[in-house]
Amino acid sequence: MTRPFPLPESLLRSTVLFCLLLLLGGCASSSLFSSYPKQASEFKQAIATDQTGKVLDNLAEKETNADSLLYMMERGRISQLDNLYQESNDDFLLVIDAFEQQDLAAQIQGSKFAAQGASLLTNDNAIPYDGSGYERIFTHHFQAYNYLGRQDIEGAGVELRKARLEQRILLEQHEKEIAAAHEKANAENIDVDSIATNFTGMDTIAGQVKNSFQNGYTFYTSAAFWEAMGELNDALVDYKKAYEVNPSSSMLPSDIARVSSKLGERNQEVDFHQGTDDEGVVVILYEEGFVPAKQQIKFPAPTFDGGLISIAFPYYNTNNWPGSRSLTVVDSTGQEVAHTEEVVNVSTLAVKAFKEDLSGLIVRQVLRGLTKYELQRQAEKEGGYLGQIGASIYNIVSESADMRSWLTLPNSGQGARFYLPKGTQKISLQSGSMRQDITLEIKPKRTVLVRVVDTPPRMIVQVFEL
Amino acid sequence: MKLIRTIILISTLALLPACGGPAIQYGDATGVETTSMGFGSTDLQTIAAKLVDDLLSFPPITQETMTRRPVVFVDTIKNKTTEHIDTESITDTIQTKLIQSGKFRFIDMTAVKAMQAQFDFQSDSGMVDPMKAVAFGKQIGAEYMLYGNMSSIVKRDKKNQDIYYKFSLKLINMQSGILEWMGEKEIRKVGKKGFIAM
Repeated sequence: MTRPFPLPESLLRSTVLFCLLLLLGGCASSSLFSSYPKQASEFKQAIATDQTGKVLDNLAEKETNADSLLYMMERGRISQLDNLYQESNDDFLLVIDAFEQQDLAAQIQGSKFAAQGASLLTNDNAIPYDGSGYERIFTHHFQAYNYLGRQDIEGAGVELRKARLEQRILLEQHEKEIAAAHEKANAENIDVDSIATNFTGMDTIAGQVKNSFQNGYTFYTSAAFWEAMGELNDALVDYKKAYEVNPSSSMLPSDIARVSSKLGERNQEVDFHQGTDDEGVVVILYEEGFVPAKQQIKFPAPTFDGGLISIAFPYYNTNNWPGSRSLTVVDSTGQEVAHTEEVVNVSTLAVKAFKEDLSGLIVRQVLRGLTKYELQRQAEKEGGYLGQIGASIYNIVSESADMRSWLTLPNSGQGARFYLPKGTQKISLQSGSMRQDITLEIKPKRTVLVRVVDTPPRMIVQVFEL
Repeated sequence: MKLIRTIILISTLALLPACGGPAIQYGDATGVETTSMGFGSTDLQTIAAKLVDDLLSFPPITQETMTRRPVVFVDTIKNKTTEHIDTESITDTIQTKLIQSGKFRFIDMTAVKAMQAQFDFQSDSGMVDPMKAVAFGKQIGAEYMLYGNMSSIVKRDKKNQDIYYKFSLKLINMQSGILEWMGEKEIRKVGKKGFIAM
């Protein structure tokens, strides 16, 4: 790299300093220098202990933050779990608007470019958070619950259709995007593969799914909803899609058989119970735990002149991976009536999404490392010993990995379906040492969705009658 | 260093705040609106205009409405799109146009509750002269029902977005169960991404 230097150096130095100070000041409230998982642990704590007031107040300030997309996803989820359906709806609406603006945003955006530039001097956290595919799907999925919570069945249908649409579009774009990231790496002459070997530990987890956005839990919820609405074709398609991403499921084949038989298809080998005229359907939608946060790791990367720089990367520590609990439903006589089965592991989707973005991430991180290295050398040349120390400190402080992601999402999504006789029925929901008794009003041939969000020590239950 | 200078320049530009206050003015309510890809006022107006024209110019309907004004009631329009569209607002516009054509009369199901309350007041409150109270059971039943659905197909890639809406409306004879008329309006919108924006 040649360095022609026509500007007065003192002027340039003070400009650099000024800009850095501005960046530091402007971003103090975002994730630039305070790691996001640390902020999010407060959100999770608030949900688990049912003390969300303070967190919701604090999040109100984040509406205009550069990462508002992320904060609004978190707030939407927190409000929803507090049964604040209208508030949650408004938050998710902001998120959906932000995603839709991205869809039609210009291919080259000045503001984005500036953020990328700023990120070269600080870290990836300076780039406004633009969300992952799986987060977008969850936004629509949870938004559907907000409509159900306000008895707006048609609105819920719209959101579930939207979730299906977005999954289809993501699938269409998926391959192209991965190819494009590789091309960019080649163009920048960065050996992505050698750095990528540091991340192979995650492959066992990431390899469990084909892509990061096809969400079996969303498909299952949507299928149960359409089946209850009598839209059997839609239900069948969604059950089949859920089965496609969960080929070892024991529950989904009987769902498919049941709906197929309702549609008049015979020759079903699978045993299923259709329910009698005096029974109603209960569908359990179980969300358990919290998705793990990314952690930070530093790798050395070679510089142009043969030196080494240390670069911070985010990663998922899969050695300490959460297992998933399941939920058991027991009726008033103590008889077990159902046991949930996992249809999505959100943590796996998160790891997969991370792996899908890895090439782009490596390119950005290496370019940043080189920029900072150059800055450090310049400071050393011009500012002597003090300059070098200053630049080194700045590098250490500013080099932090981008660990942002929607962290109040569950670790896994599960489902179960059973029939209960009409009338008032008491059931007990049990998971580990936790237990909650609920009363359901069962109407013949009608469906009740029971959503259970399990964040020990709290178990949140929301009932939607369809 | 060149790289760093460029970055600093761009970052500084980005820090300049946006200037200028809001500009507010009245617009043409029937003007073409293309603020976003979503369902908008222009779509609503073209759907209503097209379907009303279709219905009123359909020969058997023209004949039927030549000498009398049949009574119709409007059922909900099912929203099967991926957008939250107020379909009642579309049917309201259609209903308005049909009433103003002078060919149809309508039963408004949204007013039933309020009318019921008024009936109760007239008969039970003791404040209304029984001779002048509106008599029960004299309302005219609807002969036709207007209903339909709206669906959409959305396609999107990195550069383009394409939305296709289909709105279908049906008029059924309540007595005979015969579908007397059916109309459809399709709308297709295409959005292209710009190349550069600040």
